[in-house]
Amino acid sequence: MESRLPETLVSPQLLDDLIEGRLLAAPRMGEAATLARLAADCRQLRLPGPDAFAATRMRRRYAAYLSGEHSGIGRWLFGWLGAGPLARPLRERLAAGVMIVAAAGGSASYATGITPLEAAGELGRLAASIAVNLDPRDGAGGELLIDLSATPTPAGTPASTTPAPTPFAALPGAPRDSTPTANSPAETAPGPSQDTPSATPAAATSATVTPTLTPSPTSSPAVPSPGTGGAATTPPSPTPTPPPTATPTPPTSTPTVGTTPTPTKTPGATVTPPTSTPTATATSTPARPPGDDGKPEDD
Amino acid sequence: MSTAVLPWRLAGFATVVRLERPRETVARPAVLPGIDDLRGRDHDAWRALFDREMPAIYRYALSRLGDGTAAEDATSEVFEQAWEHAHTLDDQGLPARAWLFGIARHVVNSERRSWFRRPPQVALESFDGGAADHGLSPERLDLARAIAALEPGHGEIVSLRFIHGLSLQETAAALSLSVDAVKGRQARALMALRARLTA
Repeated sequence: MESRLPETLVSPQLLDDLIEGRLLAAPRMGEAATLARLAADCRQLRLPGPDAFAATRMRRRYAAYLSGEHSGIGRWLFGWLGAGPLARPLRERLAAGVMIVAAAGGSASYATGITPLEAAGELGRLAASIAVNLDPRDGAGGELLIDLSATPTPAGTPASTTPAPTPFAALPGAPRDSTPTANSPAETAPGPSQDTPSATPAAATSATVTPTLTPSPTSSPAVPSPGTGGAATTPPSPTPTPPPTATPTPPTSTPTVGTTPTPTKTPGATVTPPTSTPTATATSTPARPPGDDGKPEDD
Repeated sequence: MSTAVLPWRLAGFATVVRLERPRETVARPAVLPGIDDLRGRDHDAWRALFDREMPAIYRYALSRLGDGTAAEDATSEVFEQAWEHAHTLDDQGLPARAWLFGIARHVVNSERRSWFRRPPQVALESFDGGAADHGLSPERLDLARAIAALEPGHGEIVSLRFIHGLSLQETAAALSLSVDAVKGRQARALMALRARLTA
């Protein structure tokens, strides 16, 4: 009640006239005159203005703004990110972000007919598929290795002699695909015998096959190492074709009739001399069994 | 009242003047030079406005924020926003200063350092900066404290009217109030201030 009492005594218009000097304070204007003097005291409060450096900075910044050095979108984006002189409060930035995401999601779902949840699910599945397909274990061909290792049996026949018609195949650095028997068991067999031109099936099949091979000492070495190809090269197919020609016998490799080839040959030694390979091809081709179609296994 | 002291021959003339004056103001408010240029975004007019009003806007921002750097940013933003919204500048017969103070209010209130509360109407630390002649005497320091302790509506009126020197019309334009409302709030603010000083 006390705070309201003076309001009834002082007219705002009279007070303003006193403050602005349009009226001179009279003794009977006690309250209004006091308030007018108080207003005059308030006017004595001085605030410091900008110093020269601050004024120069602001003037330069404003001149740069007028010259258009700052684009509107860039300034808005900086402000939205919380940087720059136009930084917005966090709530405004969050609200703007929600609106942008909602607008983008709504327009995208309208255009594509896919809701954002479905799109997120598809993205998750895509990520999972990428992760699975890029797994290095699958790149090594786990299942592929099994399938190819099973194939050698029928083709392990003399056709596997595949004497590498091109000398490249015998080269150590040559790609394996260059050999016609790319899928030959020798290639698929894990171990150092991959570079060899697939003499393994001959040794693995049976004794009858062995004479057909007339490889030079270099080409024949496809004898798998006992540790690697021993189990895989076991004769899976009991249909070995008899050798029509009993011409040559490999000098050293001597793929003995037994199931296990001789481990004497090291793969590295076998591959090295490329010069002998042409001879091996020349001799081996006629040595194919008559019943064979003469084509490589892959065909 | 002035007609009472005038000779009778001039009393009629004075009455005519008093009657003619409102008609002039209502019919055609004084067009301040530069308003059209500002609305048309004339660079020279805006540079002149900046040079003329920048110290006042800076002082206002400083009195609210209490920090020189923040006051610089706020002042620059005020003029940049004013440039962007130049088309909203109305010719109310007032200088553009009132319009700038209205923008400054919004800029300061939405200042990034005031996420959780608005800055005070008068920051006491703002009186500490500057040269030595701006130092406050104990009486003025008490007055500044009393102003800072006022409720926001009263403190804003006292600050705009007496510390920053805006007229009634300019204050009304800056606060989007009527002149009579500003008069009443001004009277109440001064009485509240006096009550605080005498308490």
